[in-house]
Amino acid sequence: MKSAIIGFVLALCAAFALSAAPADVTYTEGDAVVKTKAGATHDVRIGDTLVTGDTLRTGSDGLAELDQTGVTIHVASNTVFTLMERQVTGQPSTVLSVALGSIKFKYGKLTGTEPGVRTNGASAGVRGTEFSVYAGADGSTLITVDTGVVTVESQGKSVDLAADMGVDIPLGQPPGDPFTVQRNQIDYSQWNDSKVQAMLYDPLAALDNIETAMASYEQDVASYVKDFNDYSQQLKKERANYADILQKQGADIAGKYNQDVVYPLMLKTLALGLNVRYSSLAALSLRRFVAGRLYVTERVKYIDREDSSEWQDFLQKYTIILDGFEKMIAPQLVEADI
Amino acid sequence: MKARHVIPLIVIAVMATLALAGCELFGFVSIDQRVSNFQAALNTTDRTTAYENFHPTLCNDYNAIKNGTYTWSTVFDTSYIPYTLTVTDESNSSAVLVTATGSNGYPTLYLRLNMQTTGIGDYRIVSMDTSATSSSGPWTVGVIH
Repeated sequence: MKSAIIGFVLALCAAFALSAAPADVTYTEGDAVVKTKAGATHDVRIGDTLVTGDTLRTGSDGLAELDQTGVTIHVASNTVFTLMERQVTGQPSTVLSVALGSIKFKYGKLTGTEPGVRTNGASAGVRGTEFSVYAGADGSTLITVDTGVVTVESQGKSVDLAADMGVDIPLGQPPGDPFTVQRNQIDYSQWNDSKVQAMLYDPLAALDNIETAMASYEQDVASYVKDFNDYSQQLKKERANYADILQKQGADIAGKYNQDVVYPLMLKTLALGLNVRYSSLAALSLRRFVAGRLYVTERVKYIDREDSSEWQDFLQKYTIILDGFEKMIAPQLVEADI
Repeated sequence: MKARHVIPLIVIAVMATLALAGCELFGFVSIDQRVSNFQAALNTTDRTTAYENFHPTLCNDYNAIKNGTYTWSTVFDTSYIPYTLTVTDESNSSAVLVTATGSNGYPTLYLRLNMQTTGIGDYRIVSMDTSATSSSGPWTVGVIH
């Protein structure tokens, strides 16, 4: 999954060279709150600006519209939307994250600087001008395209969606076969209800999907951490080499060595470290909005039947997922994230 | 002691306290003082307070830089403590030029800091560009932002 995502992000960043852009709130109504990256929560107001790490959450009667340098983002009710960011070779790239609910993206004009889009189980590269992303309570994703082309990736497999095409991506699985959609005919509530029903019909299977997706994030984090440590060691060596060259060959030659070798290596190392965080936040979203919700639902269901084998089987598998999260992901997070 | 003697003494004591404590007591932190505070934070081995010199709402990486493992240890390796941050131009608060030097042959790093106030006169760092070449660039924009 990591290599696919890296390829995707490299492609994005090569084309975009984008500085992570804030998003301005241009319209809001009903229940809509923002949780800032510092952890504070307040009602969303027109004129507010969301920056990286801020999460916008709409209630059952809430909606909001954002403008992010030419991209209009229509956030529907019961949706959780976060502005995220990752870096490749020092270039920040905005990622628009839909943890739950539905969002419609509309680009005024394609400039080659369009941010990527991700859900708990899929990511999308944008070459289209108008498309919708639906993130289900079970972690699955539905993406439909009105105009242009969108490339959807999950579990190392990608598909291109042309206008009036859609694709369903079950959590922890590659995208399904693209299908034709009638424009504006997707009913998110109906689609989400069917996903929730399927999830509750077989919660162990749902946990299997969560486990697969979580394992991918854990592998990504482990891989980034390993790369970071390798690069850090190399950076230490190169800085020592620099000091040696400075002493033996003088400032001019050492300065060139710094510019050509040490400094670029520092930027690459820094980017790897920040990508550890990106994957960790994605895993947190999966735990909070999919695994956590499923747990609460099942807990209530079996509250007076704690000894039942169904509940014990569920709990055992859920605990395994949680243990992996606590071991691999939690150390990478800070209190304000949680 | 009579009241007319006590009041001036209290005023003098308060003024002396302010002079000693500096303006930070009221939340005023100048550009120079902020850079100095940042330097002090970098010269600790755990760097747990370095992020406090950044703007809590305008700096995108505010949470990321709380975990110094991936940021400060990379840019300012603890092997090169003590670091010295020297402000060379603060005429423009959104492009404060700073030269960072360290011990043991640390390659000089040039910083361009975008600083904005939070509250009244409390300058914080919003973003940090870096250059390996000189204080006139070329800059890698948004190394921390």
